[in-house]
Amino acid sequence: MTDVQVRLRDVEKVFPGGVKAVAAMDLDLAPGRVTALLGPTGCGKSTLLRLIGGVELPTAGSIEIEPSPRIGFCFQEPRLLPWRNVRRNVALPLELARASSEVCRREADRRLKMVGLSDAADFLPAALSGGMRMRAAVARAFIADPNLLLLDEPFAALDEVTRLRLDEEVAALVREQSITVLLVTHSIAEAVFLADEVVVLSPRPARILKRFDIPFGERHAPLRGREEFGRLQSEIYEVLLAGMGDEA
Amino acid sequence: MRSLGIILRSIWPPAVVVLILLSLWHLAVVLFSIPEFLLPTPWSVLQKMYEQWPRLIAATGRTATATLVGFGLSAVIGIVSGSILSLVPLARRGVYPLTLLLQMVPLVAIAPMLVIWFGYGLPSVIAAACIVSIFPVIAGTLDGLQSVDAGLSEMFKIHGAGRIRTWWSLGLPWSLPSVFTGLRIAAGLAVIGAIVGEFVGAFGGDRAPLGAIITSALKQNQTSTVFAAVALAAMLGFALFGFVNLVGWLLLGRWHESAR
Amino acid sequence: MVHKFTTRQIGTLLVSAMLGLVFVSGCTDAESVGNGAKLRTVTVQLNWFPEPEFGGFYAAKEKGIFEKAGFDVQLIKGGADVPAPQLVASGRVDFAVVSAPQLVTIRARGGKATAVFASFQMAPRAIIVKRSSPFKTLKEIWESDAKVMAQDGLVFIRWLNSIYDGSKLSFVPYAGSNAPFVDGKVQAMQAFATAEPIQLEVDGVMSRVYLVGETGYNPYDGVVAVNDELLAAEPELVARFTAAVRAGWESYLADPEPINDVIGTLNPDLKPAVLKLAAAKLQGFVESEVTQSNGLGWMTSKRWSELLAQLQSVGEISKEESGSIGRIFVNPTTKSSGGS
Repeated sequence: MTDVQVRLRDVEKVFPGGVKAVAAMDLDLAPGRVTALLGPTGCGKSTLLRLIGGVELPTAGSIEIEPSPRIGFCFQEPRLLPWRNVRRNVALPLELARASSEVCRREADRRLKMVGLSDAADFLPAALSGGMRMRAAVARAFIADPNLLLLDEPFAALDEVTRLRLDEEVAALVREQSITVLLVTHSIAEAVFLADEVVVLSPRPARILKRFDIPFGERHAPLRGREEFGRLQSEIYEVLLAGMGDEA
Repeated sequence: MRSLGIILRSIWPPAVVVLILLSLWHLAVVLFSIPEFLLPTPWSVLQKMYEQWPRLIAATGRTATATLVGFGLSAVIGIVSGSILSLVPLARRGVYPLTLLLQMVPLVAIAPMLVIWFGYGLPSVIAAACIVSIFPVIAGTLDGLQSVDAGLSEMFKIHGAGRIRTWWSLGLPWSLPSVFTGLRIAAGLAVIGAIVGEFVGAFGGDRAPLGAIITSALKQNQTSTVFAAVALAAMLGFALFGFVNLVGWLLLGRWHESAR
Repeated sequence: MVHKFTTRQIGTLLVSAMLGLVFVSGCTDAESVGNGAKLRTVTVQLNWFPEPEFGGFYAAKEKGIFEKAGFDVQLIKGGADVPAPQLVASGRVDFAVVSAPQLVTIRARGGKATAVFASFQMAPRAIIVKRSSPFKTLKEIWESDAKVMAQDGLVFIRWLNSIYDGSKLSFVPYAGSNAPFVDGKVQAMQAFATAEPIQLEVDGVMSRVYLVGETGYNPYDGVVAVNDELLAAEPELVARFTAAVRAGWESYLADPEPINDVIGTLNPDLKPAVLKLAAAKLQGFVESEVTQSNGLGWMTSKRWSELLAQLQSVGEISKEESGSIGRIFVNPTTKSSGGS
């Protein structure tokens, strides 16, 4: 299976009302690797993710994705249906694709095991903590065997400890299989921890300020304590700040 | 055993209030020497209920049948109409304001027309119950469907779900609380609609439902019978309302509060 | 005196509240002719829409008979749902036109009103069928499975049920429209012999009339009832009023046409041809041997006793209630009163 390639050329997105979220953007996502989009709030990074995911259409330019992708999404809110238990929530994408109920059940259970939620399979979302709900959302994102994973600030609403833990779990998951991942975040630490490449953006409309290659191999917790980790964070921070300073 | 305690605890305050009101009523009749044809005592109403029990209970059964069928139709047609209006924006803008007419037209004015269109007996009474009670269901359904969480809608769109599929798996469950609000209101209205329909379109004599008993008792100056029939109609309304609440609780109880 | 005043007020309030809850039409269309300040205002509740059956009242008003007797009379038109007996018994109106059995039952249930005049000596109450109907007698109709348009609760239905087997019959409400009868949705309907059959005939629908009175049940109808408090307080007034009504009826029977014009404007549904025929037919029901000797509207205790016995026999009132009724009627022009 070839890895998914995503290529944006000259992409522009103007919203009704004249807001230009994205302007003349060229962007390539490294196939089979994790790319993080890092930028200040409102710079258009979420819009880029949504354009790539087909949720929005560009007003100009082209987006090429080859081969035809199976996309998994994860948003900042878990977006679980409150009347369905966790298993049936995770199975939703397959159900909407008209898979049989045995397939749905089997695949859902498998993904739940993957994120460590097997015990909660029959619970309603209301019975879960924030972190558990997010895990369920991650499991759902994986259920259709995605080769392109779009994560839009998935852990931004969680507490620090849970966030760190989930970062680690997702980092492991995406490296087990070869998936092209786009992570939108405004946490520098998270970007450095999870991504193979960090793209730093300027305020709206986003320009690519700088790309950083993240050379670490496996991503485990101790990584955060290493000197190179801290150094990369500082460098990225400088670029980010400079980009924001230009505005002022 | 504990749930019995809970039930008793919630029943006794209104029960006490009812008893107090009944006593005041009785006292008023006695103190002011109010003649029976104007206002009977609660006791004479109960007596009459006991005396005429077979006739009254049979009548209640007939009114209940019309009410339940009318309410059922209201619920089904109301939910379907509300859903169609939600799925077809043009229809919604054009038709929804007209459904308000259903609410506005006084039933007593169109009841004779209903008899002409549907015939005497159950058909016109069912129609009356349905017409009077349908609007809240349409409104509740439409309201619920129009206020589905945007993030969830988007998720369904992302995964390629069509509008009907989205309506079925997301819209309807999401709207259930709002639908049930509408159904609760519709329950009471359905009883009223049936009774008023019966004033004009029901069979009298042996086949009399509560509405017919009320009109005939009025002609005969049997006010106790009127009150007895009205009391039974009220109980019917309560029962239907309670039933709707129960179904609502069964369907929504587990997830609703936390979802909203 | 204070106590009585309170009862009347409470009665009025309660009647308004109770009836407001249950009733629909509140067609109270008061027609006032008040001119002189010396005229005494009197309210009269009619128990149906304006028709020749109330000819005497309209005549008394139009011809100034009421005025000459010192009254400014408000004739309040009725309809299917207007509770005339309750209104007069509770004192909401001074006089009302009711049927004799209604007066008996309301007295049995504590209502205080007394009859002073009986417009109809022969009850015009009838059951009618279309001329093309296969039924040949009232008995045949009653024992069939026909649909009858009638106000369920009227005593004559119970009477007919007591002499015939009405178990297969079904009743639908009669709210004043002949349409279901004309359309054939019902096979028979209640009527006044002087009203509906004539309206139908003029509209081209011929009918056959079966008088309920011919089966032996012949109560007074078009009975003028007065509220008892008024009767006790002002018997002179009641007597004058009754005399005026009598004069009104005499005038109407002698020359109905101008009064019919008035009725026609009040009730545009009645065509002039109908009014003319009805007035002619009324004569046979208003006049009788008794009225020849005593004047129109005269009542006898024999007729009232007979009615009480019949009401008891069909279970409309109980024996105890029958005993508690007291004096039901009086003929106010002379000082003699009837008993129960």
